[in-house]
Amino acid sequence: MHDDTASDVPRQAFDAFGNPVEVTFPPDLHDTHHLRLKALLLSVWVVSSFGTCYFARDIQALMPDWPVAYWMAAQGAVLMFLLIIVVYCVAMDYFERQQARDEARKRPAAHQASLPATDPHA
Amino acid sequence: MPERPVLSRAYHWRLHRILFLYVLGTAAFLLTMLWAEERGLSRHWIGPIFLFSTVMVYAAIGVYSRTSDAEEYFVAGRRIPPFYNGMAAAADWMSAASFISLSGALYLQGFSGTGTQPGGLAYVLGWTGGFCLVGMLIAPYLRAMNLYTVPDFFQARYGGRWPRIIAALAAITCSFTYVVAQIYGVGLIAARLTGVQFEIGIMLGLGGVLLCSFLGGMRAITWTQVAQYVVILLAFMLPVSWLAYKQLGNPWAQLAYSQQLGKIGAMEQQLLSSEAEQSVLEAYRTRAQVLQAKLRDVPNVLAAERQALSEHIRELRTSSGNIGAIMTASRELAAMPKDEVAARELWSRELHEAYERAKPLGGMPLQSQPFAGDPDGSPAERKAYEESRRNFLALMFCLMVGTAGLPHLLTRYFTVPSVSAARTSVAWSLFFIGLLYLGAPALAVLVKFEVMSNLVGTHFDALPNWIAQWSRVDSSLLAVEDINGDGILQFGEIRMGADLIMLATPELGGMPYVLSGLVAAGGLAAALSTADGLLLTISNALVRDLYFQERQRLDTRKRRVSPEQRVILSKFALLLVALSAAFVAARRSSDILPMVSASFSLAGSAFVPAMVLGIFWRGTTRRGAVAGMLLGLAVTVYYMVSHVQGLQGVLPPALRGEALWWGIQPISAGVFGVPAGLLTILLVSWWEPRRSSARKNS
Repeated sequence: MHDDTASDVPRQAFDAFGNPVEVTFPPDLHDTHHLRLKALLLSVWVVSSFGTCYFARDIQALMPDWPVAYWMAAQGAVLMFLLIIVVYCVAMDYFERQQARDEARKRPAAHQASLPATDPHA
Repeated sequence: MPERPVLSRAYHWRLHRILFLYVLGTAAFLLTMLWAEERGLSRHWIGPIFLFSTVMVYAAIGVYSRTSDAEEYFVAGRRIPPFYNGMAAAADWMSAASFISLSGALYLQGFSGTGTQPGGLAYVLGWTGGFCLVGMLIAPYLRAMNLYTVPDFFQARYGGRWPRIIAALAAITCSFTYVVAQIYGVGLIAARLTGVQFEIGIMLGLGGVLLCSFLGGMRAITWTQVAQYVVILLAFMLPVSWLAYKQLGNPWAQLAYSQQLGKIGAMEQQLLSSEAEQSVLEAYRTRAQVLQAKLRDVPNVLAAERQALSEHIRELRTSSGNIGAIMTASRELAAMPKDEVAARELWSRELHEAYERAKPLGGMPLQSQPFAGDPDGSPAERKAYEESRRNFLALMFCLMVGTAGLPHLLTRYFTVPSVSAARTSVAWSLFFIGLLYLGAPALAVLVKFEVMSNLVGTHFDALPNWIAQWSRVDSSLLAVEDINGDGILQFGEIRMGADLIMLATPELGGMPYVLSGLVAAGGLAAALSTADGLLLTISNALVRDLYFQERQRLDTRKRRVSPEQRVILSKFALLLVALSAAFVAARRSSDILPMVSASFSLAGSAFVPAMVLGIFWRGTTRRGAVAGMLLGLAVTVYYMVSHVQGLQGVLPPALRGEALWWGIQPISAGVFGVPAGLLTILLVSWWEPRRSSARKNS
């Protein structure tokens, strides 16, 4: 393939000013801790969109006197999407604040703890 | 890159104050116009006043926020608060099609559309549900990387050159078809609003787009889109609330419309059993039979009809000398199909239409019944049900995944100050889009109720004026015909285009003409805002991701281009793209419009698998990404192209598609392309390190 030759060159990108910047993909970005939250919210998402639509006739049969299936697809699901994304925002902001607090608390302690370890004479 | 300082409170308050004053100004303008109409302002003036004043406001914002600073031009300085970015993203997202045609699609297609034409609520769900994917899987991660364009991601994550080039080409392809459709919409609305020619309408709208995106890039576009969102929202909410207040005594259409659904169900049953409607269907069936007979022997019938008409004219000339009658007959003769091919085409189209309209309720499904067919009925009905449901879900999937992949939407989230703001901004976008989309089904239901309860059953002599006016504008938008000859309008005798529902709502509800102008201005704003974002995306992909990156790559010693020069080159690329899009739109080729839905499938299969796996799986390799993007695109394009009717003869037999896969319509081709891309990336990325380590060991 053509790009074989470039495979050893460090990944380079350029910012808006045309200067090469090192934007290697930051792997720390994966907040793997919160994958469970994502999985949960995405399954709610699948159920409220694909699930309710797949079983629309059956849901309608449960409540014959009110167009529940139409309402679910037209408005209920949209409100559900909004709720999902708001929950995600609030939760992630909370996690990030907590993480920042933990780090702030840990840093002085870690600093003290690491001092003797780095001192070869200790 | 340093994290930007937190935006100050004073900055927020200044923005809130400007928005408040702007909304106040818009409301005052509307009230003035209403007052002026009361005092006798002519209708010929209202349309042009709306067109020019709104376009001027957008242009003024563009001039005010002009910039040649690269950071401002590409990402608006990354200091748009999430609330405003959400508003801008909502305007960016809502295209002319979704503002004007969505309610119409819900009116015509009911819950899910028919088997061969899925639609209806799939659009509402697909265009909103995709934001969950954007918010959770994509936008915050892209924002964290401090990118400028979406192809930048592929450069930064995978390096090399092909991921970026493929991404840039895919971004250009799917955005270009989209932008052509927007400019087409701009031309259409401007032409109707002012009565100028279609081409001049395009140029007027284009002027507005260019003034703002050419001068100020992302920064100007953002604030223009905020202004446009306010217009879109007003233009949608006012007529809907008005109609709801008139019908139900409650302006909250979104809450109150469900009681009308039950009534519509009852009226639909009544119409199905009504004798007058039956006679309409019978008349259409007869017409279809006549056409079929004609089609069996095209040359002779054509010659005979032409001769009969000429004889009729001769007779008129000799006997009465009635100029009017002769003129009509001659015009009819001139309008006859020129040759056999044309005649065959025309009659086949008429035959198809007659068949469509010979179905109960004019071919429309019952409003609130999910899916066609019947799960407990005959095998044919059961099959229809299964396919209708499958197509509905497939279309929904494509629209959702496409939302998560369309570059012009994703770049909107590069302009916020932080990762957290990117998430919040997605939530705000969904909120602002939801404000409109919750109203669209309500509007469809209210209009249907209005048509069924008031319009059906009127005498043809007493039809309201607007029917004649709209059918004169374009007979594909609205046509009424007394086919069974009883002088009374039946439901089966009305044919409405999807675009008409929104545009004619003010007249249908007996509102002042100013509201019609406002609705048209809203459609214009929707088209312009989307066109702005798309043009910027295309020109950036062309200049930044293709031209400069390649140039840098080929010769690293070359003189570094200054940021100002880059911006200037981007601006000229934007001008060129806009002009070529206008050129394509001005050809009025109707083939381009269905391609918009196709661009969702394309964007979904090109971007989403490589982006999501690149973000969440460290093992994704460059080769895997390239292979996945190419294969995903190839599958999608193949499935769409191989089922286009017009291309069946041109394509080599190997590419011709015989049957649909699992009955899925080609519009939802992404349902095959996305998994294909995903699987390819997984397999190649998994296999590649193993192969190379095996080679090293041996």
